[in-house]
Amino acid sequence: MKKILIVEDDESFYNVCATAIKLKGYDVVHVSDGSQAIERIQSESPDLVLLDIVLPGMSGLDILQNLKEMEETKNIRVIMLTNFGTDANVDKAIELGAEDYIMKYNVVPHELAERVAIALGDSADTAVKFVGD
Amino acid sequence: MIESLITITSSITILALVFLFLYVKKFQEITELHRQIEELEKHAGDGDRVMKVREEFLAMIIHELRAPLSVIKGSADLIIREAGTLTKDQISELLDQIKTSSSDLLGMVNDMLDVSKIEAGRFEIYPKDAVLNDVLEEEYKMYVPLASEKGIDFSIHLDPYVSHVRFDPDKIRQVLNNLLSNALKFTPQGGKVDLLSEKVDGKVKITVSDTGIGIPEQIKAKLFNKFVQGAAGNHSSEKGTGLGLVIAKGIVEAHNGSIWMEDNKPKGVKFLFTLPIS
Repeated sequence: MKKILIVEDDESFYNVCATAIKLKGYDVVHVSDGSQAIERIQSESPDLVLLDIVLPGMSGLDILQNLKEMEETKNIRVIMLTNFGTDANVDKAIELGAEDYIMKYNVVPHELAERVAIALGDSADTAVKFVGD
Repeated sequence: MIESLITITSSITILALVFLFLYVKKFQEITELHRQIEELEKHAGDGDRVMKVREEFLAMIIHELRAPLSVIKGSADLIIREAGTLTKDQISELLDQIKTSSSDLLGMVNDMLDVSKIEAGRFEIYPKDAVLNDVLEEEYKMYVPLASEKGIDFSIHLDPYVSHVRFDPDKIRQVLNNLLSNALKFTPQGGKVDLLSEKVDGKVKITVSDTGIGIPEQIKAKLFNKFVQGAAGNHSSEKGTGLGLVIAKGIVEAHNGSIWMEDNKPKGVKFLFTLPIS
């Protein structure tokens, strides 16, 4: 079973994402503090990380940059979670190597799960565009 | 089937209510934003500073509105689409989230309305002869479970000579709720929070002291201003509009009292307010 690690400090929002992703047949791991994210990603070796940008401890962008700089984690796919879809943070995240971003306020859980599946090559619907669709 | 329908219907109803609250809140905040910007433009004439305040304000508004709304929308979508697949416990948890997030939004709306009334001088209190120590004791009892859950030593010290004061019990409870919940929120396990009443110079003085993380120097001077979160908690687990102390100040001043903050040596802060003895 493929593993998705979700870094999100809002417990309720995490629960929405996790429920939808589990229904799609993935295993889900939760990290709520940014400062623990890198260590957990190294130990859990997830297939994909859903990463919030505004986090306690360490920002999602700093975590992303660290992941992409380390040999053992640089190939892990990362999808950003953001409340601010058009700001510089998203551009920066894509530049740093994030696959995609999801607007939290506009989230449709089954579509989020589908985008995870697409990013992992598990969906038939590979024609869907990632960034900015 | 009937249960699913009830579940879905209640979700949609709550969602509709939330959109209504959201509309009111957004209106209030945009009005306030314009007011602040106009004031800054008038007094400062500093374009960069105005722009920075504008951006920070908008970011705060968007974040505060969107966080609970994301949960409500996401949870409702899941229940509606997956009602047949989700377990009863999962549905129940999602509904609880909808309820809690709706309450958070409602709290924000009420805060905004209170602040707009305070600023417009339309904030009304209904003072009556009541026993202040009883209100303090009830508030204390309400927060004991939270303190105990967090491993905080929480105690109350009441001066028997301050019992009879004329005040609005609901509003003073609101002040105490704000001060006590802040003190408990920002005090770590093993810390201490005290609630104290005393009679001083014809006034009643109430003190809430903690041994928490304290308040950064640069924040202290503007602690009772709008949208300041003292404990530098710029992440979504620190919910709130940062309006609690603005409202507390409005309430205390409407009673002809005053409210201020002091350092609690060697660690933490004290919030104090006075009410005149009639």
